[in-house]
Amino acid sequence: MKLHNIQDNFADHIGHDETSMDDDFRALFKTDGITLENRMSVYRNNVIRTLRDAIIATYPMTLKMLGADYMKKLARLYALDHKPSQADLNLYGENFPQFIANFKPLVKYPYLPDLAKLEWATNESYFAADDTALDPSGLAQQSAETQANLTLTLRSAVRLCNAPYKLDQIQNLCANERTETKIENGSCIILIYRPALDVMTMPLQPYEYDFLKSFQQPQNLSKVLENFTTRHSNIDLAPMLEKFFSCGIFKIHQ
Amino acid sequence: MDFCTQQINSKHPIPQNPIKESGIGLRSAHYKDIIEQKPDTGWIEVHPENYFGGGAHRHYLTKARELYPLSFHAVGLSMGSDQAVSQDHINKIKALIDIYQPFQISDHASWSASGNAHLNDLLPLPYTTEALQRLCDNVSCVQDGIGRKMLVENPSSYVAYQIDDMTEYEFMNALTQKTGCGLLLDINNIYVQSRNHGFDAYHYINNIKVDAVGEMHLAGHIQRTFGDESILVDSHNRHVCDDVWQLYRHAINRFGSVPTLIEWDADLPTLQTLVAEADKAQAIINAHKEQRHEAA
Repeated sequence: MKLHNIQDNFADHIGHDETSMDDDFRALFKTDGITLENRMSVYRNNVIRTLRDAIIATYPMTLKMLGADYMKKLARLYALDHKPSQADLNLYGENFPQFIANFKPLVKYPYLPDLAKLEWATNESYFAADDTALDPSGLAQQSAETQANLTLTLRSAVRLCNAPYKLDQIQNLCANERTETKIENGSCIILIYRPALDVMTMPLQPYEYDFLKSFQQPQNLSKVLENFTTRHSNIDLAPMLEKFFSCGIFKIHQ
Repeated sequence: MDFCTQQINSKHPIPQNPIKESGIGLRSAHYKDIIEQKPDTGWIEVHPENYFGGGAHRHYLTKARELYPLSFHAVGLSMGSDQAVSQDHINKIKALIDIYQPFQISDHASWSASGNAHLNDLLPLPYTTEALQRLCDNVSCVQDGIGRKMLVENPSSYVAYQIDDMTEYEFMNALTQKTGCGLLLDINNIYVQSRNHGFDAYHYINNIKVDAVGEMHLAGHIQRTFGDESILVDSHNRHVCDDVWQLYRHAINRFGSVPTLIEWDADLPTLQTLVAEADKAQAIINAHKEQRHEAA
């Protein structure tokens, strides 16, 4: 059997719960004492446990909501169905929110997929590339023309999460180690950002979300402000800009 | 061998090794302790894959580099796979090398990737000429990509192939000969393999080319039982056992005082316990140096 086929077969056996082993594959290995199935189970345990633990580490609030035993089983099921496509496990688990959404036993907790999306966004923010925030004091010293021509975008670690559930309420429950699972009706928008090493979150008003999402692609600041003022003529721009500039969520697009 | 003046005649010369040979791994649970306590350890090993992103991990890596020499021990190149190594992965490691200038770069004689799936374990190769050629091609590709000589580590394994054309030590020696790479000799892995597959660990060590070994690893293992039979699993979650220390003494006498890492990745102890384990390795190295000095 060629190396390619050996590795395909091997991966198939250890990547899934026990599968039948054909004779050609079995004949590749020495057998003495311990069965090949038991030997393979050592590898399967290593792989699945590592992936399971990566999911549990990435979704701490989901873990709190579901409890450790349930989460371990759920994460194991996910790991059996979703093998990473790269060695960097820090970015493993992107599809876990969708997996929860499709997992019928959890259908009575409809907010869980959105909570998991928030956690994935937090994980992405934590590992995002480092870049330099726009310096508002430096900006103030620029000429009006320079300011008008400035093209800005959100920093690599910034994410916007718009959910039809009160995720901020769940965040508070988890942070305070409370276990109530009755969530008030209503939606919420959360800004996820990382000024330095720690990821922060901040609830947003719909008009703030409208402003920030413009910068998910590089945009001319003056044009965005002009369009924004047309849509939200009653909003005072100065405090909003000051708030976001001081959070360090923008960078200059080069 | 004097590590401060070591010269490697290679296409990919290795920078100077650290003065104190024993080192410990940088794990996130110890980040703050290492930066604040500055333990007396010769060097720090990191898995570069943990630092592909930015943020806190990179911050602490930078802080650690300011204090210690670094060794990059990759776990994701999957050089034994019957497919080319990811160029993106090589580029990311190269970018980190350019910044952090590690004195050593290593990965394993094993595979993890099959098709589009990456299985995050160090899976065993058959020791065939086909597998050797594929591994050599990939090691050469990595060395060319990073512009440096690398070390390749012997793995632990829990199955043995019937179709092997050669022993593991013959396979590893041939790899060094064909690619110019060095070896990272994991003494615990040799011990685990010898128990799982029934060979003499001392015979293995005695047949490894003396000048190929650039680093050694020591770790703890567990025993997993199936009925009346048991298997040793390289778990990196406990102290190095007495038999492995004894084997390590033998290895140091054969290969000289090469940099040695205590690998402890799960059920992490306190930093003090980890450093004390590294000190045990250093004591063995120091005793070897004294013996050699007296003999001279």
